[in-house]
Amino acid sequence: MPGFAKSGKRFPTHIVVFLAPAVIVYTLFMIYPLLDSLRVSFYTPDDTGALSFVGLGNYETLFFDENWSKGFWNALSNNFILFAIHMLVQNPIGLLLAALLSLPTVRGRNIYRTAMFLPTMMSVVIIGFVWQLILNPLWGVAETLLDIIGMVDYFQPWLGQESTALVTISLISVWQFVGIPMMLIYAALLNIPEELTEAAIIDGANHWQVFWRIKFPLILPTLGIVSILTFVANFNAFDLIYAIKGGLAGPNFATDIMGTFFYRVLFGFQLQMGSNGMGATVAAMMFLIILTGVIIFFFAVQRRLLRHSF
Amino acid sequence: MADMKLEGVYKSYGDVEVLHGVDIDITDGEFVVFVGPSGCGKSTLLRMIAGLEDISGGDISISGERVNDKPPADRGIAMVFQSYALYPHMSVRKNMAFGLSIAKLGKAEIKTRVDAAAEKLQLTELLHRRPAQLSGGQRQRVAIGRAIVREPQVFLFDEPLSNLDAALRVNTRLEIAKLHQDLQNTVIYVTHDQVEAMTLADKIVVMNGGNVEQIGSPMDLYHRPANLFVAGFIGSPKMNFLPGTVVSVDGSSIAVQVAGSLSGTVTFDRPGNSCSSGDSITLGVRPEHLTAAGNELSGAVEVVERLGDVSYIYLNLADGERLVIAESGTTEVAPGEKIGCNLDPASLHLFDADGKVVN
Amino acid sequence: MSSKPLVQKSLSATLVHGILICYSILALWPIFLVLINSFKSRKGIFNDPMALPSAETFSTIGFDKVLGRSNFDVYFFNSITVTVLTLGITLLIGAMAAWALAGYKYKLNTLLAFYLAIGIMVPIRLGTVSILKLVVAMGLMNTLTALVLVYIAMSLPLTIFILSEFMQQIPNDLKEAARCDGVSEYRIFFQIILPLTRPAIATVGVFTMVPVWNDLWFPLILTADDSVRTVTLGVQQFVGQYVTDWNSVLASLTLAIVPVFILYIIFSRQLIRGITAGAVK
Repeated sequence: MPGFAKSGKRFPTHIVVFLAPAVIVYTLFMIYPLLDSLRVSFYTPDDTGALSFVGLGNYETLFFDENWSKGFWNALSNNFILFAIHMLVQNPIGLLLAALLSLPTVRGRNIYRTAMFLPTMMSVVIIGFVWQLILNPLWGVAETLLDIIGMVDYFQPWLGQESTALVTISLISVWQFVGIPMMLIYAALLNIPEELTEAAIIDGANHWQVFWRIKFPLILPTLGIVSILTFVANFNAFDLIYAIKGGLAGPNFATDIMGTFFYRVLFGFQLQMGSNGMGATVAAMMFLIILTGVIIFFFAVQRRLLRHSF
Repeated sequence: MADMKLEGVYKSYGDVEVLHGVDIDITDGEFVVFVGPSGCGKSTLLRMIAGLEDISGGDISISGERVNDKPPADRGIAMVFQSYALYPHMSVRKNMAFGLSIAKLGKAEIKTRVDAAAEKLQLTELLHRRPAQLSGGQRQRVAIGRAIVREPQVFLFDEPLSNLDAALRVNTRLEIAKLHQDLQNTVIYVTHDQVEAMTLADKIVVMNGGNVEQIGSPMDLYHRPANLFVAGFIGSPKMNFLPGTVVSVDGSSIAVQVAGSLSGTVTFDRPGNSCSSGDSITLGVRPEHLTAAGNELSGAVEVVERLGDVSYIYLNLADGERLVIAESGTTEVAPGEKIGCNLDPASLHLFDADGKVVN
Repeated sequence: MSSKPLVQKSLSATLVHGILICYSILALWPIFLVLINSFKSRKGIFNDPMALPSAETFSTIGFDKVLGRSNFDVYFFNSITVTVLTLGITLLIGAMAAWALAGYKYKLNTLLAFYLAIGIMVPIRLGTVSILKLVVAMGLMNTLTALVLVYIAMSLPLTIFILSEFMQQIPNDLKEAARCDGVSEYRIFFQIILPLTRPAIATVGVFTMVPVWNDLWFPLILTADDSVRTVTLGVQQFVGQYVTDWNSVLASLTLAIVPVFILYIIFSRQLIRGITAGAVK
């Protein structure tokens, strides 16, 4: 068959056809905007509206111009607080719930899983409003509940106070997204063969020792993935704070994070005009932060965590 | 002394009973193999001895002490798992030391024990490696090493060779046998492979469908199977079974009409107490007890397998029954040829309609 | 395991279930609270927030107001249109690309796979400045088409990644057997590979659907008219406007929650199986 040999060398049209639609849409609406946005961060509009190249000018403004730098550093440090609370609260709770769910004797785990994962499925906007209502002193639900456990004196309008608003919002976010680390860790725990646990039990380990000395070291790579996912999600967050606190991220910018700061810079607020160039610059900084996080994670942390195939 | 006693041990999951009352006596230092087809309950029984499964009823005692409610670690047992179950994140040394460190033994003591076990199993060079960096055979040895350092009264092996390739399997089988001769511990070993059972065991427990079919030494089971199941399970190629009818019983001998036999009846010099004439009966004969000579049974040769030292002749009898004959050396018989063979009453087994042996 | 005395065993089991039940309640209660109060009169809402609606407090005034004052039906229609279109197109072209990466060997294979995976870690929001310019230049401002295009780009990386991992497990023999029978590469994909990928496609479908349905950022930026608002943006705007009207706020939240809730109950098995099967490794 002469045609057969030829067909092996023919230009692989089908591969191009398979790839083209996805690559085109993805490039046009994802990669190009990301790169173009980086480019725009080096430009500023002059009086006529035409863009002119200013090099690192926008970055200088962002870091050193009083009007900008204060907001930027505030948003950045708030963002790190948000991330820290997720790492310290969300992921340990996720680990605990996953560990309990994966115990071999627990019945009804499907129901628990479904219930605990439900908030994660909801829109951040909806969840934001729900908690805003619950914590609202006008409605008094939170107060009533605290009264039941005898802690009514501790009630404060947490979302309204500068000192507590960020922590409160972070905890709302933790409440909503704890399902993700829980499910990922749960899946990793299920992946550990039962014979390993049994071998450890025969070796005399109790449930506590089995978890910390056998299972925990084996799920470290998953905990690594959970951490980096948390990092990326936190530095990309916006919806929750916008829903509860609006673009101004009040009170007095106490809940401002990179996402809300980016939004204000891009579209303007109060007397400040929106700016494409500065907006792109803030986006570029977010990109840089996320990229740094991801690189540190993949090259410094994840590579050292041994993955085990069972 | 690490003798062990299982008395009326049964196991049920809800309404489903998977083990129906097992009684086994094991003496100190004995190598006992539980063998049977998959699903016969042998692994469940082993896991109950280990303490990994609840005991639904009956008693298990080790060295005279009832262990039903003892945690696995306090039973004086060590187990080698089918998949080895080595801790992937620990080095070989740590794998072997894990149980000892849980038991809070001193560092020096742990080191001495691990080093000694490693020496015995030729693992000394590998102590710093992780399981992923070991070959299948080496992992197997580490799993055994992890069991040895605990200095258990009883070793439990759960199909330990099934993940190895054929060549390695024979090797490791020999090593396990040597190890047992060396340590003289009590061993309980589960396998579905009757060759492993025959080669390793002092005592074989043949199980089927949650029941113990027979307990005995390998040669006992081979020469004096108690029932059809054991007769068919032990030995390779399988024992031939031919249907027959009891013609007469007179207290000292029993005459049987064999289906497809030309020469009429075969007479056995045994009382055949439980039989009466007219009963249907099964004759069993091992392939190596048949020779391709004679005319009592005859048929056409279907296939001939020559292995060099032995040849297997597959014969189609006139009435549709099939027969395997093992001839030592290389046979000249060719497929299609008509040949015959004789039955030697001395090497025949008789089983009644319930599958029980007739003596 | 028989390792512990019965009493101790049942005690620790109680503790485990206790923790799990407590957390389940904590997860469900806020949503439940909103749902029950949306069916109460204003008085009922404030007098006893924790009570179920009774004959006395039952009222649908909130829903009447929401449906009268806003175009919730339009928002729903928009959200459904955007989500369904995004889902359908993403799954089709994502599966095609995944197969191009998983099913064939060629020079650029690895590089392309890496290129397409960038979007898993880099949020598409960071390109907003240029997406806005692009959408304006294409004359798509204020259209659902713009949202669909952006969401497809957003969903493709993870879709392609998961599907190509899954497709790598399809035995090569299958493709080669078909090829020996003279089946074209396109028919191999549509008639052999695609049907075999169904379980993974279901999982990826849920992964794609949720962020698209819930997104606030792009509707906020790319749509201005009421007629192209999605539910998430619609609720956000509505609540912002009628903050003090508790009946309306609770009713609008309920309207947004219920469809997701129903879909979640239907698909949770699929979703959870997808996650536990190690979709994200």
